[in-house]
Amino acid sequence: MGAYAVAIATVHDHGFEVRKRIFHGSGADLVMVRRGEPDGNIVRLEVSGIADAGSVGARVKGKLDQLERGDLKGPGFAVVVRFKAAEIRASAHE
Amino acid sequence: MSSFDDPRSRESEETAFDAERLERAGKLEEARALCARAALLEEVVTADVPPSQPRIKMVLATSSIALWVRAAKFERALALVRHYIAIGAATEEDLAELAEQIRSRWVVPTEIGAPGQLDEMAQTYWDAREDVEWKRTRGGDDATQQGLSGLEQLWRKLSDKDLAAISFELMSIDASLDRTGEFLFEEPLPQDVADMGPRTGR
Repeated sequence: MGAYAVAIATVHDHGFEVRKRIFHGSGADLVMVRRGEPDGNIVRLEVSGIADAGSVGARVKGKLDQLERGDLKGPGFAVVVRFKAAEIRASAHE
Repeated sequence: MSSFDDPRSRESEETAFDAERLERAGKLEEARALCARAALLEEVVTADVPPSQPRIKMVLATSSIALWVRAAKFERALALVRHYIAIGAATEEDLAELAEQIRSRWVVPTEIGAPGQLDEMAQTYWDAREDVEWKRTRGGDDATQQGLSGLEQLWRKLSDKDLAAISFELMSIDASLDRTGEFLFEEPLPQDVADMGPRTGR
């Protein structure tokens, strides 16, 4: 779900509004429209999250292939989010 | 309000999300029950999308079939594939991947009779759908529009048994068309080669 949140924020920053999560033959992804455009002008959004290891480029290519093969034809975007180990330090002062 | 904002569509999305969580927790039966609920909601919303929004209708149609597949209700999913193609909500190409998934996973229940044995309601729906498909092929858009609402009404009256019988009939016809192709090209199909042994394919 973390990858979805980052992807939705990313495409929002690029002028898109995510409208719905939909299911199809290969799984599920999101559909969005460019802000201000009607819902009929659907653009698909494929999202994937990977851990520290693994190639982001290869995953993007895989997702683009999925867009090409999937049941829903038309334009689409692929967003891959790599999660690296986050380090958070907190200390208290009395 | 767009169909994406329809409260039933939102409820379907949330229900499907809950189903995924149950799936991940290994509670498959409960997950399937929720998927079926989500699929039905999506199906009802799809039926209400006006023809003037074809792309939205196609997206929701695809999603409802995919959810029926996840609910393991293959007979409904397969009948719905053909239904959506007949009403023009999607094309065969749009739904090819899902149709393939269904055909490879559905085990026909033993209580379903032989092909060509549809009960009265299933037969009425079948005839109405063929009529719409025929008129669509001939380009009679007005006539097709008249038949569509009737077809949607008949769809809602179909029982699970009717849907299973319709799907079985569709699979039987597909298989016989494959056989015709095999006869015309005098070439055994790959699965027959596997059934009969490797020498057949040489």
